[in-house]
Amino acid sequence: MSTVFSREPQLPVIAPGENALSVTRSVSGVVLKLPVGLRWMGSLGFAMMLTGIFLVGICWLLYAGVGIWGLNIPVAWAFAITNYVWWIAIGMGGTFISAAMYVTRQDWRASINRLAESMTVFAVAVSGLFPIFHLGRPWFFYWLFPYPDIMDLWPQWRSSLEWDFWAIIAYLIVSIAFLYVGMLPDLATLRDRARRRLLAIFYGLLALGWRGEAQHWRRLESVTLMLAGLSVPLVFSVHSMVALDFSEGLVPGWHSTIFPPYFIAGALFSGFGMVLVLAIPMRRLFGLQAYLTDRHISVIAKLMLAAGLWIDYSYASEIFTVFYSMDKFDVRMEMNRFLGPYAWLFWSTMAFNFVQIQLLWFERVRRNHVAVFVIALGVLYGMWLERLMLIVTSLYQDFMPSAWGMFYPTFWDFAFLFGSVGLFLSLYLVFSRLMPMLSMYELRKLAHKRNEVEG
Amino acid sequence: MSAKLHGLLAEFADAEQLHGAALRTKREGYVFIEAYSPYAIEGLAEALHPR
Repeated sequence: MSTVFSREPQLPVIAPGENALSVTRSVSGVVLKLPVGLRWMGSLGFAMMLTGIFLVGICWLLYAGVGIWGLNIPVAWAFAITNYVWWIAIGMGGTFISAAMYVTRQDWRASINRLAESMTVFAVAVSGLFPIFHLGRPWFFYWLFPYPDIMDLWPQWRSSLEWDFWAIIAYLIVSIAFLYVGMLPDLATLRDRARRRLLAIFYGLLALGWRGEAQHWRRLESVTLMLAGLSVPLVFSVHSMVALDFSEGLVPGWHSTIFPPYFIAGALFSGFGMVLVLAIPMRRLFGLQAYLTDRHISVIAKLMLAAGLWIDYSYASEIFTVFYSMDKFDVRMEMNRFLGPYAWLFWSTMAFNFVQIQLLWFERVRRNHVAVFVIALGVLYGMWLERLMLIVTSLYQDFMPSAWGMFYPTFWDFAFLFGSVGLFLSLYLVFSRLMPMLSMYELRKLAHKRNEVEG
Repeated sequence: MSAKLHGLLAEFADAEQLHGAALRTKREGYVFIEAYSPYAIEGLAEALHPR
């Protein structure tokens, strides 16, 4: 029996020999010293090019209307809402890593939390654009806010659009607060180490006068704990709400109570995927292998596998419920998913979200970063396909055959999808050069603890 | 110039020494004391500013 349960030796969460000074040097060095490399410039140039396409698309959309996309009645949601759900879900995974791991005192999170939190902020910001552009008259989006007006205008609280608005706003505020508060001590470190006066003033203003007093640390810890405590339920409540956008619809395939937990599984799954996709190149680009160790990649890969199995269980349960109910509309919708014109969407979703992730059971695969990176990219792609599958296959053939119709994406659909990826990457790349990507003060504490244990 | 003493500064090699020193100065009755550290040290704030 012992051979079955024997554990692999634990890899360290921080390279041996690291101490407070070496952490500060290498992390703040990325911001203050590292010359702007060709790879970073190349990546930013590529991301900016995609962002440019996005901007052109937005201008064209504001001029010509949502008709530039392939959506129409009956498939009125299509890419825009797929992108919205995909991006906000990615953010949820990031918050889960930083907040839930903080509350449960997982010390390995110290080096990954900043990366995950910034990913959250940018993903949620990008996601918020899609419901607005999908409005038809995006310039009236502020009507969603219950402001005192003279038109007797009041938001429609029963509309899922209204829920989206509050979900995004609440989530954005809390995740920005969480990211910023957590950065204060590190901003102060940058202020103290900056050689140029202008930089020192820039970081000094952002650091809000942080001096590292014992009292400061005590307050920081209680604020972080409170924000983490707020964020963990928000991950679940906000994404449940996104799921209820669908559940409240009466079309077959949406009108189901399984959606909230099912969507949360998907959110964590794609969030872990995005963390891996960002962390694996970042650690090489900025030489942070001592802190973003093999252990981190392996642990997040395991989490991604766990979330993946949870979502696979949800797929199975959803399919079982459909056939168990014997509801003829539901059964027809499900058979359409298996064999209809969009069957490739369903089967590719299964290939990416069920089949390929099984490789992560093997330690050898988890230690191979190229393999983990490719699998994580596949997960992101699979989760995007899954949302499109959910939206299109439920809408294109509903109860009345006279209302059936197909959905075909246009060039602008893809321009908005890849453009949003470009915007996200641009924000992320710029952030990674301006702000410390790893939490220096938490790594110092971690290094201190490790050195104490080793004597 | 009269050498008027405004305060004393001391640097400590690690967290435990700093924590010990904080407890000791407090115990000896000093009131205006503060400690600065590069990361949160458990019990340091409580030692200096007990509530």
